[in-house]
Amino acid sequence: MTATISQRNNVKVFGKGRQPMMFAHGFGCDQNMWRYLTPAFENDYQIILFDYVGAGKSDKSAYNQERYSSLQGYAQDMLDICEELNLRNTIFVGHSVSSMIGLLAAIEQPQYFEKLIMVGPSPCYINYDDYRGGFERKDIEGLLDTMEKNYIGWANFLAPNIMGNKDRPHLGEELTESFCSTDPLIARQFAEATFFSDNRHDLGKTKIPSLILQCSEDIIAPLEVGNYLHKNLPNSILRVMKATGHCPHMSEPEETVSLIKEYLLQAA
Amino acid sequence: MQNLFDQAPCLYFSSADDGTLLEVNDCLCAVLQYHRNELTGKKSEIIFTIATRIFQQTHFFPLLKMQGHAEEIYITLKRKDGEQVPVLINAERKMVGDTAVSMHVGIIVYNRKKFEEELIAAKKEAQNALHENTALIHARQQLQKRSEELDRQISLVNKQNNELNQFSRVVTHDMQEPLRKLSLFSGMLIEGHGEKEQRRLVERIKKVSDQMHSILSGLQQYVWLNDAPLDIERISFNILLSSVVKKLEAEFPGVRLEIKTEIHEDFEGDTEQVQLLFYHLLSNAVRFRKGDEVFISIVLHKVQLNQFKNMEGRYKYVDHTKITITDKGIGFNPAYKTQLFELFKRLHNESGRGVGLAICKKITNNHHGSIAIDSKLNEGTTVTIYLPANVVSAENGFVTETEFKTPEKRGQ
Repeated sequence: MTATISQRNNVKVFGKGRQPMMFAHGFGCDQNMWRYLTPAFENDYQIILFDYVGAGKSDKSAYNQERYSSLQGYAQDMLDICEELNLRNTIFVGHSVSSMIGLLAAIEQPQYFEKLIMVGPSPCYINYDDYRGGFERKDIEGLLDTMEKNYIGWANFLAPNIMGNKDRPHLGEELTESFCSTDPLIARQFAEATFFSDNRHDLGKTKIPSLILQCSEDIIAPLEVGNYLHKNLPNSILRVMKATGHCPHMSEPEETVSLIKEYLLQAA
Repeated sequence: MQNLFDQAPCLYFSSADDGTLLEVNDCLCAVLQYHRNELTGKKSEIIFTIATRIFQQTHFFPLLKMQGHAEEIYITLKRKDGEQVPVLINAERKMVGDTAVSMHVGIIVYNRKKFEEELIAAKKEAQNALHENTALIHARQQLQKRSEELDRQISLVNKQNNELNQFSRVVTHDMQEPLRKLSLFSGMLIEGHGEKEQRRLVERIKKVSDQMHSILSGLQQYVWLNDAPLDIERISFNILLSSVVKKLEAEFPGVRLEIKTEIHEDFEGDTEQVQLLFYHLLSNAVRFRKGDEVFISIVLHKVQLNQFKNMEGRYKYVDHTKITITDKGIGFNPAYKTQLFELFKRLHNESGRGVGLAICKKITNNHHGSIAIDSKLNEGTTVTIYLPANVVSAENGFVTETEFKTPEKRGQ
């Protein structure tokens, strides 16, 4: 018997509402990163969390180098889930690169989606001519190098029996579950698919209403990128947050929740 | 005590969640060539390389926030003069009053870095040796080509099987029915009736023969499409559309056609066949309209789709043109949406020859694309077509030697 998509992508469905609200994690983490946000929505929506294949507790054996060398392969994960759960009118919330993955999915199968909420999105991370994505190729090579070094360090950690830390007995367990500890090869491929992606030409292809949550002082998705996105993405609303950094849903969950609620209320 | 801590041979800095540096020790200042007051109150990015900033945002901060601590994290700090300092960090995030403070202790690891780089280099070398094994690469390329060939052959066999089934059904049923009627009516004529009844029978014979003629000419078009060579060129869509509309307006006088187009991409195909495709689709929209007005919207844009259609586990995302044609006609029960492309499937009696959508499917198949139809009764119908952006390469197979990438070369 073949495993279901829900098993493959470690899909979690909960909440008391009927309208689906799907949260998609970004590069580097897994669905756990949404834990500060979901309590604010679970009374009114059906919450759907998942891990992309290769991340978190997904089925790593389903990883396919060919498929996941492009963001399209990740978008297919989302579409597979939408199909299996038979979703309609979904509110999609994507962090970072997942904003563009969600956009690709919505362009391909618009019938699943009602609104797209993008947290710290960027259609293109690399500088090209007049476009300022924020990075040069060598910066990304440096990131790949940093990631590689860290996996060497972590490799020894991953087996709990050699932890030997009596003060923190749960440490071993936590680390094996560590939401950032994906397989180095998979992480590298995801980083490449993410940071070398260029989705600027896809922006005009959907009219599904969207909210862009732009952080102040976000080095990964700077304000200039947010403005570019807003200008080129039809029916988008741009909100610049007080939150700084790239993870407002973790650093400033209250502000993130209230902006999302305000948007959903306005739009409804 | 404070003094000793400042001088201790470790790099210490603490920061708030927004990245503001709260405290730094002397050792850190000395190593990074800053004065203390150039750092405290500033954003920690000032001492991070760009790669470290990304890593901090995507891994380090989430890890600290979720777990409260992180150990043996390798990052690169940036000196005031721009030089990089490799550092291994342990960090813990704690609440001090109501603000969260992340405390970091680091040691400089120039030597460990060299050692690790050697390790990684050795590992990569081993991997390279594996991947650059020319025989292996050659075998993989062969395999790739074979899979593609196989994929195309499976498509072809499936297609031909379906067609064969449909043809047998046509011959055994759709053609026998009018023949049976012809035989019946002519039998009645021979038996002899009054002049009025004779006229009625001859009229019915005429009608049935016309139907047969129509079915046969549909079949002829269908068979022609089987081996008509594709003449691929850039399609000038607006010109193509206006000639289709002209033809339809002549065929359905008194009907008002309102077509809204949103063309984001040019595309390529066989002009004659694509024109036939749009003729059949739009004529369906006209024939199954509500009232005397027809509203059609046509949207064209580019998406990426997996080129492998039958082989599981194979992926190659290539550009396709997605064409969406929506009307506000009478629609149909979506339960029938997959059967409609079969030859001589008719949902609406008397409505047509049942060959239009089969021809549309044949044309999209000829272009190595796909077609799907969806509908809501009384609300309208949407036809979605995907055509590969490069029809010729979809036909000839698509992997060249230079295109074949080993994992190490990806993204460079």
